[in-house]
Amino acid sequence: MKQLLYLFVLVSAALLAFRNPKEKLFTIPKKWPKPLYDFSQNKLSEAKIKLGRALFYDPLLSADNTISCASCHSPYNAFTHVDHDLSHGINDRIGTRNSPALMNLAWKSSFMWDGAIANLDMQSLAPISHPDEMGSSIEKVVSELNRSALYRKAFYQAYGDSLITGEKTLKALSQFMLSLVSSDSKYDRVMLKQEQFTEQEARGYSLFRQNCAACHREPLFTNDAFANNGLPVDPSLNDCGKMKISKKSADSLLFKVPTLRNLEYSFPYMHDGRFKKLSQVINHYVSGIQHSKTLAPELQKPIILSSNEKVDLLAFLLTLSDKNFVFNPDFAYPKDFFTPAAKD
Amino acid sequence: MKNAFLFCFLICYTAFGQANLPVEVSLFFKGEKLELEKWYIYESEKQNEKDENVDSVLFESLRFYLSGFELTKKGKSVWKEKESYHLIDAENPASCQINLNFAKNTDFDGLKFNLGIDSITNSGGVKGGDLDPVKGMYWTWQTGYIHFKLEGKSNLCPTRDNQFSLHLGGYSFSQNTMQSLSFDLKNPEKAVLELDLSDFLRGIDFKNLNHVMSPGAEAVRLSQQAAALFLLR
Repeated sequence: MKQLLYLFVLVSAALLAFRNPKEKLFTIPKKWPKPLYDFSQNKLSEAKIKLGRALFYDPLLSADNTISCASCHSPYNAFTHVDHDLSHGINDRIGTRNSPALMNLAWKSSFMWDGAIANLDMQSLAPISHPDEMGSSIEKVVSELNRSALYRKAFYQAYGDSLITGEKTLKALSQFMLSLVSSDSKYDRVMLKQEQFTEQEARGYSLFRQNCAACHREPLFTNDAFANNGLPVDPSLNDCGKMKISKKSADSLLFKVPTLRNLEYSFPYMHDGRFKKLSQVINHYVSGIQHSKTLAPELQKPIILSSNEKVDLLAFLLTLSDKNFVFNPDFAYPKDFFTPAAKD
Repeated sequence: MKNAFLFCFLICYTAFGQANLPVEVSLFFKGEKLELEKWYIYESEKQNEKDENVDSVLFESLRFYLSGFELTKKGKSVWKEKESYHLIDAENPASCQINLNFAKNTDFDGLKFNLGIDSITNSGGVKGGDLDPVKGMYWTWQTGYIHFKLEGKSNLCPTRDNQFSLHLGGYSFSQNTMQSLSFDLKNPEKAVLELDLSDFLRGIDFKNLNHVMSPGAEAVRLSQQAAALFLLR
């Protein structure tokens, strides 16, 4: 019996010791599925998230120190780039796809419009290296970081070691991106019975569930899969989507189903940014679907919406806006990091 | 906690002791020790009767991953190296010396390893050491390590500056380029893995194949060809 007591004391002591003092660096919102990211391989800490946030906003990551991650993933646009249909890199170079909004990334099984990247940690390598984006390389970034006293200190605070490696750099970037959780829209509050939809929003919600929710599945508003949503091919881009990666014809014109959260802030829409307004997107699904071999089965049958219904649907989609996410001071440019003197 | 591990380790060490097997990777071209940046002359395979088949070739870099080292006894695994990822770089002689450490009483008669990296590690989170993406062996535009990288010049290449680059990788299903190799070990004291690149070139038609930079059928075929180069002495 005494031994049991000892064991109990030991176990509780161990549990207390391992408890994070400022816990809840990452919370799974109520009724949400389990995240897919393997946090056990990259344990969150405040110092690492802070470091990742600094890296995210630092143009040091680009070849000529002009472009940061935030250039195309600005917080006020739900971490995408408005006014540009296609991504915009160093020397005004233009990419071939629309930069996606970043949020709820811990629940994603693959990244990029064509799913080329299988793990969030490796995602940052793509824009860092792409000649039309940041045009640099992780080797160059790491060697520049190692030359910066500011970063050596920040890496020391985060990892207990001031030697900067690619692994530590990418893991810190992941940590900041994982912290970008958007789960406080009106829709979320309605689901938690803290608020109510207006009549129009409620009508829109029921239309959404009938016509859109199969792919844009709640609560993440994506099924994390790929689909051909019937967009005519843009001959100036000739983008075949997932087929480029898988080399299977069944994947021709398939693109990642994006989340609909924070749509209001993240225009333009589609993989090539062809639609500037939500109403154009809705019109596409009602009257613009182009039939082809790989068209999503969900879109084989026409979606019929009256003009009133379109307005109702739009009203619902706007309930997915999460102001507290977009204006969260913890996600904004870390002035304190880059100009510590400003605090005085 | 660390101390407790160290203590256990010391106990084990004194009780059982450690043994090791040095594995040396030896690179050759036509039986000569391989040198980078040196022009070699060799006879390529004729694609056409009329073809000139004497080619000069120069290698700028050769790097590849060996992973998942195992010792076997009668084909059964008796020991596996933990975190077994080794980047071999022709430019760096130290990288060609691998040392396997295991318990003294391990009884083995075979050696197993992979050319390349397994699919779980390929699609998993970022790792350090030889797997750190700063090593330049990770594709940036899509997930996956470059398992085998050979770059240089050949007079047969109709490319700019006669350059060729073969980046072999790919981990998913039919695109998987990882090759498993196993050998009988006659000498339990030392293993020397020999590769002669001239054998590799014999199966490459440089006129038509000089840039492989993404997963696919070519990468799979060339990886099998690269794996066939390994001989254990």
